[in-house]
Amino acid sequence: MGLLQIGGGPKEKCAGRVVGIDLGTTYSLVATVKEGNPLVIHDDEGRASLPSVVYFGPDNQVEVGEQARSQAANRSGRTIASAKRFMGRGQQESQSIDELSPYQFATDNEGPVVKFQIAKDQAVTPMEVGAEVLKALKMRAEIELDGELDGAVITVPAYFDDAQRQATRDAARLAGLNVLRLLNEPTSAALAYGLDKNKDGIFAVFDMGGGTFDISILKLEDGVFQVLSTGGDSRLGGDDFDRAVAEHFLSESGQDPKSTDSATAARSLHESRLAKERLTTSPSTTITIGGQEFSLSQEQFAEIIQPVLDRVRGPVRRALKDAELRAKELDGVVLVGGSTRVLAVRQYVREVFGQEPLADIDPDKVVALGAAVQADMLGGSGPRDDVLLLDVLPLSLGIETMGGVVEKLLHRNQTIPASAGQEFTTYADNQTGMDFHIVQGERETVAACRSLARFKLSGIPPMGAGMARVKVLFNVDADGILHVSAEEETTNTRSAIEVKPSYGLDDDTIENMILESIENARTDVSERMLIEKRVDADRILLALKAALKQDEDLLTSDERAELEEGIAALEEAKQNTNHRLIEQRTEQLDKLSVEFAARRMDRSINDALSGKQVKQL
Amino acid sequence: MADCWTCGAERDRATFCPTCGVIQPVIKNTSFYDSLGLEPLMRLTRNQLEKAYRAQAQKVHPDRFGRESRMERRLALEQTTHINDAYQTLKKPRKRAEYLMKRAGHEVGTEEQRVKDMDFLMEMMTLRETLEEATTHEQIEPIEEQIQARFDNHIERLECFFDDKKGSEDEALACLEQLRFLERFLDEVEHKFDTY
Repeated sequence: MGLLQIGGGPKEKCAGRVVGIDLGTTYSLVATVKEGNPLVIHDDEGRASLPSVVYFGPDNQVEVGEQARSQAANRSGRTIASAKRFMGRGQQESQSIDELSPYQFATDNEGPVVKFQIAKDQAVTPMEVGAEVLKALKMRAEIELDGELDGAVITVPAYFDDAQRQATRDAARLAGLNVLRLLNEPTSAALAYGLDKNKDGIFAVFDMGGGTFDISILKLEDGVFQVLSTGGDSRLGGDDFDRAVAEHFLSESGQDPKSTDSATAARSLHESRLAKERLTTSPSTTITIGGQEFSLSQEQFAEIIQPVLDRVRGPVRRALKDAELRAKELDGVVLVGGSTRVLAVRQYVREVFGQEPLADIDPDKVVALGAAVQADMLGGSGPRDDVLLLDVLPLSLGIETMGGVVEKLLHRNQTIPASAGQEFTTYADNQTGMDFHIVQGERETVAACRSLARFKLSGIPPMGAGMARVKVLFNVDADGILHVSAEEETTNTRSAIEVKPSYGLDDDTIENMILESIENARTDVSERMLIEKRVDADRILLALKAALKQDEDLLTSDERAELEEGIAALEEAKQNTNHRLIEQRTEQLDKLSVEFAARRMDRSINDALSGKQVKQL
Repeated sequence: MADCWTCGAERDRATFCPTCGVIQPVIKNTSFYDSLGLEPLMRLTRNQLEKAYRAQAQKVHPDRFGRESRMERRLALEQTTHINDAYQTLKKPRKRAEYLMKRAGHEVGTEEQRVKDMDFLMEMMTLRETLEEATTHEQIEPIEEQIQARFDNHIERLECFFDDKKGSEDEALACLEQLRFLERFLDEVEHKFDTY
């Protein structure tokens, strides 16, 4: 069950060497707690962040960080950046992630995991790339702490699904790190602030990076740091500001942004990014786009990016609602991520939350610092009795039922570890096996959720339809990793699997799924109704046809013709997507067959009673 | 009745053995209220529940057992899962009422219990129509308030039934059934808010 993964080193060990690692898409950091204070560990040149870029040379030599990044253009095929985006993905999935991706993906179909083809006969997995980054940070920390590490807390985006968490764990294992815990990034940031301020309260963590936006709401009270809810938009970030600015000035200079050539587009985006960065420290700047120079004031910039910023309102509202809170009840809003340096973002946060955001910890370092704090609690200076961290499940987990409908067993934002069970039964007589399909997502139909794994429970003893009692049990551990088991309860037939899926959900998919679940709540409901009505219809059709075969003689030819007509009418309605019509005809057929059912009942009672004496009854 | 898995002393349903202090497995059917050290009442404030939950989580969370044996860590996970389940169930008044009803030996949500009160159903139908026609927040809000008031009133009735032993079981079951109805309605109102 992998339950062992939680704890630290051997029992007798006292204060260990432990670190927190922010394994980021573009940069990674390592931090530790010294004399009660979390601090980031620098490399020998005094740099805090390590570019998450790895070069794999022909003679197995590996370079990580600045050096790999600066040479990336000359050695593009052998240099991998942003490997985090491919963690826990399948081969086929990765082909479709990003058409502009500079990577060659291996197509050996050896195993389900995506691989980067770095040479004709050499391929690496995202886990191996991540492991190299982790190894570099590990070495940096071991030099600083003067000895081998006992354990590390590694941060992951709150939205990372099961496969992505597993992949991150695998990377750590490859790097020879003992993982004390996978910690959600926003939770980590809040931890850094919560302990720094050392006061009870409810915090929102507003995390905006280059391409993603995360919002989490946490409560610190009685020494328990509890995540109340989490949400976000994985296609919303600082890059969108650059795009908005570039498009604005391209139009100003008389060009159509949609038909701009890619070189101009790239240059404009670059200029926009630089202008954005200048505006974090000065009230106005100039920007050259399309051969023209424009002046850009703070106010103008804010106006241009307003439509992008407006998109944070939805996720913020949902996170507050899931936490059952109002914005004014928050005691603090923590800023995380480079994009929160943008003054317009800070102003917007002020408006949305009605208070001054907290930004006194460097937004680029706060995640690593929080992870160090958590590592210290779990395996450093010994379990502290003061603070405990309780996290939540980022996405609902469910199981496919009849007709492609999802039965959610564990819901989004439920505190973990958690478990839930659900009973299922057989659909056909003498059915000996049941297939289970586990999905993750917020929508009501399987097709709209993401497939996590499938497994089969076999060996169910032959019984009538609906007699078997199959209980499926979901267990999510403190790392957010799912374990599933199933059992036929009348005979104790068991089946247990650990969900190790072949691919994971990417942030975009998760985000899309959540957004769609709201947008499509209505279609989902009618889709669900349709499926259910069809199942009802099938049930009565199946039963009635079987009964007709068996007890046809109980009916006059007129009665029989009437029933057959009803059957035909229902079958016709079933082809339709109007669930009301199906329901109506099902009911009609039900009524029509009442008399027939009564006669069959009489017959079976007579059969059962014949030959028995009244006394025996 | 159960004995401690390490020292063998009798421990009943206690989370930690009263003799040797070691963490114990969850015994089947242990009440959620007992696990959190709460009186089995319908009247339970969010604050009371959270305080009890946090206090218990502090004691049993796997993070507190990082240096203990494999078995103890497994049991910590089991105990924490159990109190998380308890917290999740007791948090929502409707779920809490259902739980109390089940503990009292009643099945809830069966076919026979479906809402039969025609007046109630008519009222809901009328409200649903009003909701369908509503297109602005200003129009939706009074409907929400009205449903919420009904919801709160039903909760109060259930509190009287469970905690003060007032009213009949049938009434309470019917009340609970209407409560599910009202809760679904409130969800629909929320979706509507999301749409406009």
